Amino acid sequence: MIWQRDRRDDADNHLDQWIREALDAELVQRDADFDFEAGLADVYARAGLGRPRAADSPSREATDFRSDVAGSIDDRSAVRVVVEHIEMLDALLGAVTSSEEEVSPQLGVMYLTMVRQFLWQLRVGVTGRRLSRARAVQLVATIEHDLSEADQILRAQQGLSLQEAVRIRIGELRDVGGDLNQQVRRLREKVLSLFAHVEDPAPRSPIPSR
Amino acid sequence: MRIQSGITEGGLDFDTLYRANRSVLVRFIRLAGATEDEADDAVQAAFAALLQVNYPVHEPLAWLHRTALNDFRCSNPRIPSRRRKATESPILPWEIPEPNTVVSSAAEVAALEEESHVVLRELALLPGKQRQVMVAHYGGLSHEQIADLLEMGIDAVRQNLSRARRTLRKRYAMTRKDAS
Repeated sequence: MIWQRDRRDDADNHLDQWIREALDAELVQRDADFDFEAGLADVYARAGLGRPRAADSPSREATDFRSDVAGSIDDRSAVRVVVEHIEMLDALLGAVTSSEEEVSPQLGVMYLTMVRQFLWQLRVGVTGRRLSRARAVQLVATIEHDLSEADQILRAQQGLSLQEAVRIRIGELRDVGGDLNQQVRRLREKVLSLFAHVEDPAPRSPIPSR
Repeated sequence: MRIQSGITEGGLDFDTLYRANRSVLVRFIRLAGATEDEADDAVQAAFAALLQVNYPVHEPLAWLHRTALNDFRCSNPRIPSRRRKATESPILPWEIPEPNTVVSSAAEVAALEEESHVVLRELALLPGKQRQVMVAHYGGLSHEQIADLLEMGIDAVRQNLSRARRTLRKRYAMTRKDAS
């Protein structure tokens, strides 16, 4: 009986080792593919909090965004340019959704929150290289649609366009290089440029459909 | 267990906690039946909720598992309300997480990827409760924490673990046989 139990313990140890090694390997890959800075920025944004400055992260403050868009792309990868554009848009929308002033009706805020989540998905997908061209285009189209919905709600309920709401909130940062619609169009161009030389880098991981 | 690095004497080092456990949580929710996007979203929401709580969280990993799972259950219309406690059916083959693509091309890495995928596939094919118990167990939760998380008794946790092990042991033996 003792011999049988020992043999089973031994088999369990091998089984444990087999599972642990495989799961650890998968975690390493997941970690390597994930943009933790973007993830943390999204978590803090969802919590309605600013990221502590003490964090030794390369993330930049929202007020840096003007130079992000206007700056040269010579020394940046195409992915980085897209990420910076997403950060800029997220910062603009974050300013509106976290506004204490009454410029954000509930339904409008819901659309803007969804836009920020889609922006985050786009960022994670682009940086993790697990986004197909079709999914990227779909995300940008959804972002554009939801921004338009938020804009209509704001106009109907507040007599204020989304662009004006942004300007009220960040009046000191008006030079954002065009309105939000233009910025989304530029985002689409930048995202599409990532796929310019690739037929369709369809990932091996499934692309969830919503 | 990856959690210890996330706790400091001064309290919760949130960023470290996030970096150390985000992927563990995403995998747990993924194997609870979520798509990759749903799992990402539920885990992000759980970490955001952790930032907002105004009471001390003594077991943050267990708390995050529970919060993320609740978020997924509540927001997932695919799971009928009476069965939201666990997705019982095996995950469909095309929904089983694939190894990611951004790795070096070395043969040993490819082999590891394959092995990793075999294990994930076998876990995904387990019945829901067994699958969730196993993933939570290897994610670093104690039997008590798993019992609390999945709303079952500790004996049921042990029983599900035992059954899952029995199934996986057979599949492990078959895998070894195939490999040899």
